[in-house]
Amino acid sequence: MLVSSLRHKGGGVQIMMLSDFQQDVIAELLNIGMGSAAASLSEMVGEPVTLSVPSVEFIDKREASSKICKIVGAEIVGVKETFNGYFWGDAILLFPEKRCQKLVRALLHDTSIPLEMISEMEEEAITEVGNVILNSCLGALANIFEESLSYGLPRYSQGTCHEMFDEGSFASDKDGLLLLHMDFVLQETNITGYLTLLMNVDSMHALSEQIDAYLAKVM
Amino acid sequence: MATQTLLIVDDSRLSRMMVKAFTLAAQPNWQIIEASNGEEALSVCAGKEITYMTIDYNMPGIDGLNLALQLKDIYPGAKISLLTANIQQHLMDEARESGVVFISKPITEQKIASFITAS
Repeated sequence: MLVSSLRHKGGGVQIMMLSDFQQDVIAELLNIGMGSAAASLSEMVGEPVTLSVPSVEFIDKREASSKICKIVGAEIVGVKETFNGYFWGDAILLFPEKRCQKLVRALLHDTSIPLEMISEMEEEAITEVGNVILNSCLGALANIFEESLSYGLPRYSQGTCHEMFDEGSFASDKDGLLLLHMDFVLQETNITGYLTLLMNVDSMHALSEQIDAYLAKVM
Repeated sequence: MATQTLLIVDDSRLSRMMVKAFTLAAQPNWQIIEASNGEEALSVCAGKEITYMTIDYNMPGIDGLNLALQLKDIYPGAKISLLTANIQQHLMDEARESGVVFISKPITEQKIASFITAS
């Protein structure tokens, strides 16, 4: 059982509980979503994509941002989409900034394109990768729950990792966040990307109701 | 038909439960053995006669395809499936070339029934 104690500014402590089984279900659903996304990415770049095991944690926003930034690095390029439906949150795809030009070359299947052209196309290309990955992943989750999720347009950001999290929909949330995280590696070009879904407490409750309904249906 | 034994290897408890439930719905007398990773699978099936296997690909430790190949050496007659959310073409090709049935997640009753009933 995951038990996180989070201290409010006012001094109260909120105990948030997710059973081991609920965490397992969430991780497995993310795994299915990311599996579908990786297949799309693999087709786009023409090389195999290796996936990590998904992780599920309930932590506060500052911890979430420190944790991810420690893994990805300080300077990042990211694409963010806010999703809405029975549950809601932010889906964020991050790449270390220094690897991005390599990613664009992999997408274009061309190593001879001049650097200035790559730089020009970088934002567009990364946004499209983000759009494909985030949509595949969120679409798979929506299909599993047989619910519709709407999502906004992908928003490209370049800068520091912490800025990416500070600008999120949950910038003012003090109650802690559900952090779902998975990373993937393009095997031949050796580029690592990071997919993160963030949900607040209310959304997590809604998600857990969806999970119960899903389990009642499939088991 | 003699009683068959199915080995389910998956780090997700939900997935193991679903495969087990759908198998027993179709074949109530089958024996089920479960493991949550490759190392555990090799250890729990030692000395047992396994006839069917569903193996996840993306697990901590050894990956599912490597595990399938190791288990294939031990159980050359077993019917083995890779049951995974990783639906990339290269993995499907590698599974097929290794004589392993590829089943994509999400798990459904129909996918499991078709794997355990096909000869």
